[in-house]
Amino acid sequence: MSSLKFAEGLASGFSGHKTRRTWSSWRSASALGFALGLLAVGGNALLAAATNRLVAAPHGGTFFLAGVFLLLCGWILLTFVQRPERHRGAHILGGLTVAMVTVIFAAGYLMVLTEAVPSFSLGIYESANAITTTALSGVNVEALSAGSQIFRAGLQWTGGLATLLLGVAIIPTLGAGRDLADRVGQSGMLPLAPSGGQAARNILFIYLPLSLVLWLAFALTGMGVFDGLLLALSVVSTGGLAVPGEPFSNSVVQWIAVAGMSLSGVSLVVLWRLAQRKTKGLWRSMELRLYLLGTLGLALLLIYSAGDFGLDSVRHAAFIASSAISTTGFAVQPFGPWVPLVPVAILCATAIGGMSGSISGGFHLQPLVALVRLSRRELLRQLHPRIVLPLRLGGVPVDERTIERMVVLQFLFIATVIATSLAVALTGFSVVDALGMAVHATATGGPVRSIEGIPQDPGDWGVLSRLVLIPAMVAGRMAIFPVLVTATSVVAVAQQQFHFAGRRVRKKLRRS
Amino acid sequence: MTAYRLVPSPRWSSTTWHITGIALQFVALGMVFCSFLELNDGGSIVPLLAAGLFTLTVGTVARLSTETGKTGQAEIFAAVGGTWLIVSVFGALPYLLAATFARPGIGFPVEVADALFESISGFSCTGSTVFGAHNPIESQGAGILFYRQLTQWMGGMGIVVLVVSILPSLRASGLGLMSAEAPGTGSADRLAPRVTDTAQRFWKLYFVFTAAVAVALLFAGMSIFDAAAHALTTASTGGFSTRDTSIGYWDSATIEAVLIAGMIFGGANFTLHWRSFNKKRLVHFSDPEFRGYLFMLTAASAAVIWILFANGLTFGRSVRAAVFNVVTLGTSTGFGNATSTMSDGNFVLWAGGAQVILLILLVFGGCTGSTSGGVKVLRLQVGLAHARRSLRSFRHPRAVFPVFLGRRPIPDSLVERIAGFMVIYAMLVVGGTFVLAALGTDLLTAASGVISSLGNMGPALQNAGPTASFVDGYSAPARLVLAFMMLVGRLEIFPMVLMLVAPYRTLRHRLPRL
Repeated sequence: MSSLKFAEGLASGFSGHKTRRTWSSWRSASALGFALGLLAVGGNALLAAATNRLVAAPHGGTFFLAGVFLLLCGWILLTFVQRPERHRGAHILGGLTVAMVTVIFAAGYLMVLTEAVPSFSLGIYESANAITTTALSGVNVEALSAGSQIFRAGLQWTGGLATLLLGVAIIPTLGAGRDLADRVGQSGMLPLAPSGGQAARNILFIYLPLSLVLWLAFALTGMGVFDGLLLALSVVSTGGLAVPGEPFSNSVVQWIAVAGMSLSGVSLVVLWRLAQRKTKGLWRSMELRLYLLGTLGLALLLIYSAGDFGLDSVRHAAFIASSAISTTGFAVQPFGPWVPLVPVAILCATAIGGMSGSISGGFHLQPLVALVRLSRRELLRQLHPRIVLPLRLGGVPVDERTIERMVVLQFLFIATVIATSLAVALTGFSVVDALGMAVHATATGGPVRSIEGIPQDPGDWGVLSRLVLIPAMVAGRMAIFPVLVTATSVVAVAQQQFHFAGRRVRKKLRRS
Repeated sequence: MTAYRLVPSPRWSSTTWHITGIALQFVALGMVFCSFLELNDGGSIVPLLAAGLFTLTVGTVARLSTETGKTGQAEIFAAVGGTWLIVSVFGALPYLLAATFARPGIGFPVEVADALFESISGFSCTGSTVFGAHNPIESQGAGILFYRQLTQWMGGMGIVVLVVSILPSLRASGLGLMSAEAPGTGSADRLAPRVTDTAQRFWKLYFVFTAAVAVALLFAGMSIFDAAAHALTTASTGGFSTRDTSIGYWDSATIEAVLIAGMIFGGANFTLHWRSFNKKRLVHFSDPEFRGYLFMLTAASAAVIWILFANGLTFGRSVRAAVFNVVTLGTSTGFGNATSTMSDGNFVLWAGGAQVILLILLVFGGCTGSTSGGVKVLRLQVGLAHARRSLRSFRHPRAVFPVFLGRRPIPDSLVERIAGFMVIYAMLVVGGTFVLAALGTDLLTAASGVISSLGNMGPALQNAGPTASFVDGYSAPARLVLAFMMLVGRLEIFPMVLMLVAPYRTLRHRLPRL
């Protein structure tokens, strides 16, 4: 009987007929998230298998089998889920967190199977680095097969895309930051995100061509099609994982990377308007101006610190500055001495990151602008306690609930950094190193540098130190809220289930 | 009342100068008292006495030539901020006249900066010092040493609270002034219907508490002078000491235990102490903030003990080093129990995990309504409750969740105020670190220095630890930035930031438009 029911369910899942009860919102969202995670890893594994097949590298078969298996599992699960009429917002966020965690574990295990890393713990650290686009990898890229390299780069690219979808298409439709996500619609121009689906299409419309253009540009510099692809995927997703060889010794490659990283840190809304050729009033965006001024300021500081005002110095400075602000984090050596302000400025730039609605990590500039205005309002309120002063961004009043969430986001961001610093420091690091690692993990940037600017090699860190960074990376990449909402939802659901189970047991006891 | 009639009317209307005048008179009395201590110690009476007489003269002139004027919010901030700034400047006079910080190789501006730093560190109860190996504390006379301690004691309960307590005829809003100087949670902090009575009760309690600590320290083995001096800075959670190695000089567990009890008491809300005293039973544990405060100190102590023990110290030494330093930083006092630079109590040498815990304590401080600094435990609790509400509202978008502290719902206006405060605080920390780094300070020394100064803690990390001088860690301009941060932190940001609004408005009215 039960096998018949299962077969019926399977058939209805494949055919799309709803002969069974729909799943609860949280169960459906979690299952869909799990399926999406499997599909993402499976797709990248097939890409890796194809690459290994082309260059006759080992482990092509492993990648292929794993890819097919994961895609099959993901597809079956995707069709098996009986979706409810509507998923609740918190459960959608939970599903996304499940997807992220699934990718980390599945990709980590696959890395172990393909001998890219020696242990599962390092495997999940490396996969977390890739999917969260954090540049704190401890693997020697030269020792990896071509398939493993493209697998990591593909995961970065997927992580970047997921970030855009989350930031522009999903979170705004759930109410959080809705009035910040796409302010273009209010001025009568073509909006980027009129609905979730349209937003997803528009995001792909920008993200794919940008990746292709960068690939083409890198390939044309003579660095090779494969290396060009790796670098393009790394730059466009603000991933920052290393690519083989010394690609940045070529000045043209470096300038293209500067342009790519800078574009990746720009809000997708701005890029969308550029694509639509609606550039009127773009410069009025306070966030855009701050972003460009920040990059310029940091570059000038680096040049001043090095004391070398030549063109090479300008190029290196622009590269380090855009790498820090866009949270890409390519680990390049400093090109001159650093004054004490430089590490502080780079740490701040990485913590803040680029524009909101961009691929970059960090706290983002828009919330920072809002908080500065909030503090100004608070000062005015001290003088005039009964004053009613709406907060405006881009000339439009911001909802008080959004402001509340920004304040909470700041609180949670700092709390995440402090908690991660403590965890890292407990594994034997100094305060400065622990703080640097925590900030870079939460902002999904990198690399952690010494006071003199020398990038640290995460390969030298202990396994435990690396593992404690993973929660911060995941939380940072998902803008913190979704992870915490998921955690609290899980606790709430567990409490609920526990309560129901208790009630059932009590009922049974009463009957008996 | 009669004092006002001695001077012909009309007097200059200025709340700031009127209150500053009275505050200067108090400070001058302290200087004069300390000059006699200096004389008794065989030193020169001149610097302290001259500074005292000059300050008394200025204070008296300021008091008699002015009357309280408008008492709007801007004027209150100007009065409180201005009073603290001016009192701190005059408080630096004894150091300058006694050439306390004169040393070869530095110019007069640096000497002035050092004197100002020490004075502001004193009045704001920070406890950071520019004394050090180059200029030992113990080379100073008893007068200067006691004066340092006295500045912290005066600043502990608040100079303006002191003024309000003796001035029933003050037309200015006493509650507004008190709130601006020592913000609490509102009407709950009033101990009596009349503000003057409230201020007097606070000072009485403070005085009795100080005397009790002094007696306990005397019995624990300190001399009368040291006991009195350290009681002043324990009650005020200031942290100045009469010895170069601070409490480490005595190397006594009994003295440290007395000080720990005193610091915990000083870091708790004085309203609770008064109520307990009145009701003859302990009401502290009914207060969620006090419970959070004790929990924070206990948890931090346990964690640091574990870390130190795991790093090779014996259990007893770990407990002693950890509990003392956690309490001294958790209450924003800033005493040190390191006997030398390589001893257990020098937390700069501790493992990174322990230092991160201390850094967190530097931010939080004690309870509202206490003499301690920092963000305060109450704000942390409200921040957490606020974050929890925000996360719950994600799950239930249409539900209305009030923020609770214990079982008491907190009005949204207070939540907003606290959120605004924390945003500004975070920005000051980041901005201050940036400025200090620009002045040549390394990241950890800069960040911990700013956090320590804003929280009125005393020692910082890296180059400004418990056995180091701030001269070693920061340049003279950086020390001035830190001194400003101390005042900003002591007055909980707003009075110092907004003190120029009222003078600006007055000037704008009086100056002809171009």
